[in-house]
Amino acid sequence: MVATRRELGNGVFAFFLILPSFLIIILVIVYPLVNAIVTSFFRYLVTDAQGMVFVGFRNYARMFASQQFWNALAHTVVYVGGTVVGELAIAFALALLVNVRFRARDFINSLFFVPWIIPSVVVALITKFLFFDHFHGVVNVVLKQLGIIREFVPWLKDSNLAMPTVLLATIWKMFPFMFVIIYAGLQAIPEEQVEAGKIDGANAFRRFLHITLPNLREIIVLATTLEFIWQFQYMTVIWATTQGGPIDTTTTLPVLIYRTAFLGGMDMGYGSTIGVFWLVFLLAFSVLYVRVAGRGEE
Amino acid sequence: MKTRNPAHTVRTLRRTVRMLLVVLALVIPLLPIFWMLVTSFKPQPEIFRLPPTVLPLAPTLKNYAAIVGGTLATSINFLRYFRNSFVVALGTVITTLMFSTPAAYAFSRVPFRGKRSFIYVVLVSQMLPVVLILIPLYRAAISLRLVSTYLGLIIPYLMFTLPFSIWMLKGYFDTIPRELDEAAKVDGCTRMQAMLRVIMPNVKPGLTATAIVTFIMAWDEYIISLTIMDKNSMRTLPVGMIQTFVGEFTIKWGEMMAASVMATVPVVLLFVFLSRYLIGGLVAGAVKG
Repeated sequence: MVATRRELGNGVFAFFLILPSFLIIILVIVYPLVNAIVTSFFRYLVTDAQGMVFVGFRNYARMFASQQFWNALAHTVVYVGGTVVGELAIAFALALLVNVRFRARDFINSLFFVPWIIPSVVVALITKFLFFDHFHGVVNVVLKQLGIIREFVPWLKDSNLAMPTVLLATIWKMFPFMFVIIYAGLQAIPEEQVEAGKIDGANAFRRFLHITLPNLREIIVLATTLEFIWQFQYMTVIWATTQGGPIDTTTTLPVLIYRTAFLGGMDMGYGSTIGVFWLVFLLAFSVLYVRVAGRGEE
Repeated sequence: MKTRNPAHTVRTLRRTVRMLLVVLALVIPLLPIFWMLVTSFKPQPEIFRLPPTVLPLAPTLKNYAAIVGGTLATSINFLRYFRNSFVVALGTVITTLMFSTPAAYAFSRVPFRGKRSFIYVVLVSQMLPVVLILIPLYRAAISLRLVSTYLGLIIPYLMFTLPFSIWMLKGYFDTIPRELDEAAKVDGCTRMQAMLRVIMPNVKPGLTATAIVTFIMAWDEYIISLTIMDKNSMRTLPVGMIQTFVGEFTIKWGEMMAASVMATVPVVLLFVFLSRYLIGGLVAGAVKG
């Protein structure tokens, strides 16, 4: 009897603590989400007088038939995949590098963290400046001086180079998050395991493969999942440097939706359709990824 | 004098090489920032010099003066964008923590049904396309006359700051030993008192870390602000900067970099004073969650 009363009390207490957040989440997530899903079945251009007209799956048919949409999906996969892989590589290299005791290590680590706090728009402006196609773009000047390029390269205006350039800028901004997490993971590996590996005569590479990686597995799965999810959203660097160009080569899904729903004819129906597809795609991908990569955990 | 054995020498050598590599690797995070800084102090002709100067030959504050003094080609003083960004970021931090703290406490401390599904709700909420959610929110903002108001921007920001903040804070609450709750109960505290007087003071570093991350998120946000803040006088810094500097036919690198430095200083200051909390908090959130 006492236990039940207590349980009930807990329920009520928790209810009142969570209620305000719950209401906010209804207001800014659940309601707009439902609304957007509904809108995806309507023809709805803000700029025309027709208002909302129900069209069933016509927006979806239009999307699946659209080359621009498939291109944007492909660009998103390249952009997100490239960012996560690039981040992981740099973060791992740096974390292993500083994973010994030395003076001022905390200070050095916090310097590695700095790009993460630099505002995205600043990252975009610095990128524009560094990779500018005339002689005041310092990347061109240095590369030409070193004899790597003969002519100044229009990095952000070339359809083959724009994507790698925005990728580079994004990796630079985002790697510190991965770095601190992998570093924390490395620090948490029990000393005895490493020592045991040394005594068994395992070289550094084998120790990395058989001791470091298995210990970090869970953390890496979590960090990469989060980054996948976040990078899917991330469009500031792209929007502020290339606006999706040249000729759509850096148009990812968020850029496409933004342009469709908020520029030109403001086609909010079709824009919502692409967004709904993205959500389903990302959900399916995340579940699959966590299942496959997270296998072996409880 | 001690005789040095070769193994020791090899170890010292390896250590030196490693430290050299560490210093060299610092170029990755710092070089672009360095270039932004020095350029912001160069007069226009020097920026166009070939070969470029590394340190400014004739350092000047003209670029900063142009931004602060409003002599740029904008009708609005740049400091106005600054103020807008501050109000919005601070407002977002306060609103977010007000809602997330009690919720995070409940998820960490109070046993109730349906608790475990929480982590999935948070993960899914992070997956929601912001641009998709923005479509109905923008329409709602128009009908509620919230376009170009601070509140009209702070409310949409809660869609990503609130779930993230609950998640991060829950990780922090989880690190506080249960014995504290028990002790409070023995001392005759009610649940409310235990939460406010015993647990909350212990979670201050976590609150600080969460506040910083929330501030950085709001300070950084661009696309929602671009949509909601229609009036030039209400624009936040990121939007104001892009409108001012991108698409102009003369390229004002000096002013652009000076504005970039100014937009970066507040978050760097936060970081310098509070990096201990921030990095620890991020890791705790990610690992505990």
